[in-house]
Amino acid sequence: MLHKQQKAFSNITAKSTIVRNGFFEKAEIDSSKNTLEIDGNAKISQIDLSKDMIIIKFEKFADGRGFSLAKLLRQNGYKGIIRAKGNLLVDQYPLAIRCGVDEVEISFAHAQHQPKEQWREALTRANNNYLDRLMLA
Amino acid sequence: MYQYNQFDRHFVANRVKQFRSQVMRRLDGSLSEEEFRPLRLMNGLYLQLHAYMLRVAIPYGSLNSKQMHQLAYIANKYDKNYAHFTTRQNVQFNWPKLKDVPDILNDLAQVDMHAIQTSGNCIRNVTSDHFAGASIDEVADPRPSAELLRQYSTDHPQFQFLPRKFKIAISGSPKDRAVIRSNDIGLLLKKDKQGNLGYEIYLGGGLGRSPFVGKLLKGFLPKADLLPYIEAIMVVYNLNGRRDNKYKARIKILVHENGIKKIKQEIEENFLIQKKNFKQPSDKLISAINERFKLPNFKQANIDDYKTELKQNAQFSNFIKNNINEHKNKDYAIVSVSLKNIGETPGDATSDQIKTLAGLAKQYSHDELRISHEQNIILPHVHKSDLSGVFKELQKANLATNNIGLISDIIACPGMDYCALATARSIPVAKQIAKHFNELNLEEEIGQLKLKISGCINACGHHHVGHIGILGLEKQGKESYQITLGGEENLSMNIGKRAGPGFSSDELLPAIKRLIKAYLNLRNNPDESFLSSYKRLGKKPFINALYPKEEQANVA
Ligand code: SF4
Repeated sequence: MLHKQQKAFSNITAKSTIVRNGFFEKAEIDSSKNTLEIDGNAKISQIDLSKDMIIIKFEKFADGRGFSLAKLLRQNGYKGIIRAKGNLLVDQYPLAIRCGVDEVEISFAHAQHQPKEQWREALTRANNNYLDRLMLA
Repeated sequence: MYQYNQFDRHFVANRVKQFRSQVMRRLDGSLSEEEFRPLRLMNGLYLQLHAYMLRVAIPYGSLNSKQMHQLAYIANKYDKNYAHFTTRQNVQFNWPKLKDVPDILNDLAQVDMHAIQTSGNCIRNVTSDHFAGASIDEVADPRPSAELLRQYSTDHPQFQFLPRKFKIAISGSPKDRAVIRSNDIGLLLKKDKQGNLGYEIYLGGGLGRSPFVGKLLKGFLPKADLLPYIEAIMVVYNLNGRRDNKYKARIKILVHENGIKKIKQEIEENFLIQKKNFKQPSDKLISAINERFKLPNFKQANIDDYKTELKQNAQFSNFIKNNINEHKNKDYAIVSVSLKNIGETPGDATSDQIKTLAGLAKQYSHDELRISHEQNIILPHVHKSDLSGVFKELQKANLATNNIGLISDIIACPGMDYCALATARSIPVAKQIAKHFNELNLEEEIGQLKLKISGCINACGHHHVGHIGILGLEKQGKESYQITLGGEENLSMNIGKRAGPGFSSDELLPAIKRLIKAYLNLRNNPDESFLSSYKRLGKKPFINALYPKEEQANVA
């Protein structure tokens, strides 16, 4: 499994990388998917929840609106894929996952700067947190 | 006292590990300073004028003797043998080395302490009444709610990258010693007509460069709705707070620009979503928290000797008069230990002093200590028969300064001595003023007076709410001190009014002297405080004293 993923990564020629379950994958363009791209200014009431995938753009890592947008989408019953795209640091990955994000799209340069080991390690921090414990204990 | 459980310990230990790896990544270059900055800030590490500064959380200002001992140990091992207690119930180390910080955090974790969320644009350490759990006037102990909020806000996935920092304060007493209306969210515990506990909620207060008094958001919120309601406020802020201008990013500006009515409507709408989705903490978890804040087992002892000593020992009775507050248990007292010893830096305590306080807490205060936002240290549960012993120990440690609430009990921010943002010195100014009135033996005569000093417009010294506030600015390369009058804390919070043009550092003390002299002449009787006189007479006579005729001519 690991080996296969690494191989997939080495084949990437596209400009961006997808982080899925802590692994790097090539950013494929799947034209059959019905997607919508939104940014931090999006108003939740105006978003079409029938899309297969909603891509939330993170313009700057310090701009945390995307976290609340993802969570609001889930709270409003959205069941499709949520992708966070852009400037999301590896240390923010567990936060995004906890807000309902499925995958992250980062630039190739970013992927080189923060290699996959760091993303995989970060993913372990998505579990066992205060909020889950408060709500489930 | 809240004792951490396995979960808390595991969480803190993990954060130390994580930060250690972040420090290493910073040192090996895989993190740039720009990327490292928000991460170090999430762990309380600032870059100051001369060095890094580590800000350690003291949740709602409560700690035990073991934790206090550890602070003394850290101050001694990694710093210059002292620690600084702040106006937000935190403690700061001013001289740590970057490479040592993970070790310091590890030492803190040994006693269940940490620096998580003491900086950065997240929900900060929740502050509370420094007499919580002890004061006779409280409706309920605010700390169980504060602890619930601590657990809720720690590592909250949505709110680590807010438009700006976010402060919550909670009081369990209508006396509101936590100054809740100067916070982004202020909570006041109260009971409804049926006797059910809940919260009155204020929103959008804050000091800083544009001060606002928190506005009433909700008259009564049932206790069980606290977390979903806070979540609704936070979502509305996170999505709508301004991100285009750092100085307009706090929720106070959002409230100011949109009006409390509109913001309230958005919050209430979102609250409906939260209520539907929010899984309430179990009764088991809530009662486990409550259990940890139980009253100590108060002892019974004869207090006749205390009463006799009070009559015979003037030094002791002076200390008792100023440094003691009424306790829930009539045989107990709340002791405030002043960190405003004349001539020393407000809020600083040496390792030895911290050790002494830890020892006193262990022996005489049921192992509890509190840090006040006025930068003093509280022994919350001292039996009256032990007061004389405590007093003697404090005297030996140079900690028996009996000036709580007086003109020399000054709040001052670090200012030019430490802070990279400062435009003027504030510590030396505080020392000078305290020394002057102390030498003239005038403190008692002047009575209750809150004097607060900030070294720049960010107002960390809370000058806006000082009866007399001093703001140090810079005018043409020189320090210029602006005086504000009539500021007030507590539920009736007021922002002080600027008196007029600033004073140079040489002119400042004479100006304060004129102001105090005028007050002493103007007051109705010795019991009328500075603030009461000011309210009765208005600002005019005080301004006349600050700017006598000939100077007014010069200014004009
Ligand atoms: S008020 Fe200004 S000088 Fe004082 S601590 Fe805050 S930022 Fe620094």
